[in-house]
Amino acid sequence: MKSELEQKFVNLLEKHQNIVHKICRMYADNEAQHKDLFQDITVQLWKAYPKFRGEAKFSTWMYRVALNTAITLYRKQKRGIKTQNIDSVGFKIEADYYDDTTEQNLKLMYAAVKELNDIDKALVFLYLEDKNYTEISETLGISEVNARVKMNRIKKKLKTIINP
Amino acid sequence: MDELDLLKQDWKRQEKSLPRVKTDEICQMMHKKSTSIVKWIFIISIAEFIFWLGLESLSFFENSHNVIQQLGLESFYRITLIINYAMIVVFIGLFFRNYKRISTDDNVKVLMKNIITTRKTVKAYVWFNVIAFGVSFVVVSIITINQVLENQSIEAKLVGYVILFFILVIIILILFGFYRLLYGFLTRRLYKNYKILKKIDRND
Repeated sequence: MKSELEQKFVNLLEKHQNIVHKICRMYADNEAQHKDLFQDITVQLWKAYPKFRGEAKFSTWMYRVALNTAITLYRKQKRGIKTQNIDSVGFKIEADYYDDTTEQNLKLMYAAVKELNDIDKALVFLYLEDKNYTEISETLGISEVNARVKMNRIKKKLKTIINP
Repeated sequence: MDELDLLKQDWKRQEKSLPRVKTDEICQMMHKKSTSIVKWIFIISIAEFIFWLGLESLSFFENSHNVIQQLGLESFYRITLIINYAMIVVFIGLFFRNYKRISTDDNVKVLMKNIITTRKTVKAYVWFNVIAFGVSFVVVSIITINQVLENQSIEAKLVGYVILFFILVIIILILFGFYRLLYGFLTRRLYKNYKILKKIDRND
């Protein structure tokens, strides 16, 4: 028998699972790692759930716990073949939606994002998720100004990859 | 259009290709074990406390009581014993206080800092033990050498001291290497990421 708390948690996670999958895409190198990380994040979310008081939005709270798991707690299992092929890192670009140059640029950018360190990945991830700098700085524990400076540097870096 | 805006646009489109996990799959996942480094740090730390506590209560140390008496080191032994037990209580208390502070819904930097502090407490405990062991070892050995080799030449005593020094260095190197290996494996990524975060906040 599932408890009421359990049921509530499962429903919330099911509803917001995209956030976790997107973090997995960002940090996992292959499908096996994606599954492992999703599993780990689920365990950590469930362990932390009794402390979730509902003052924050469930999704906001989820970003924190899930990112913390991906960056700090999770230990990558070296199973599966490590491939750097863009299609196997999880991002699927709909080719017929873009012209060739744009498609190529997107592939290059996703590959570049994948090469970033764990912290820069988190910054880019939160940026892509439309989080403002206040939220980004609160999630990572750095100042807002420095988050902005760092993000601008990453933007520049990505720009040079496309227009060398 | 800004390159990152293009990426942002496509990022939203990515949602369509994301896998979906069903509620019963989530239920199964919730109760599985995690690979969390915190769990491993906790287990290893407890093992360390037990190891050093165990070492103290070994009969070896009980039997050595006679030797201590013969060497006239009773008060030295008593004082180190009191200090040792007091320190164990302090360290275990600190360890649990730090461990309880670790929470995954803190921000990334605070979480990392709390894990590192917990780890440092145990590290300090281990070094306290290593140093305490080293000091007792040296004191007891020097007195023993002096008594056993009382009528021997200075050279013979010197050889004794050199051997003693090498034994001590080897023991400390083994312990040091063991810890580097054990925790290097667990915390390398954590320290690396923590440094990056700190660097961002220094803005250089």
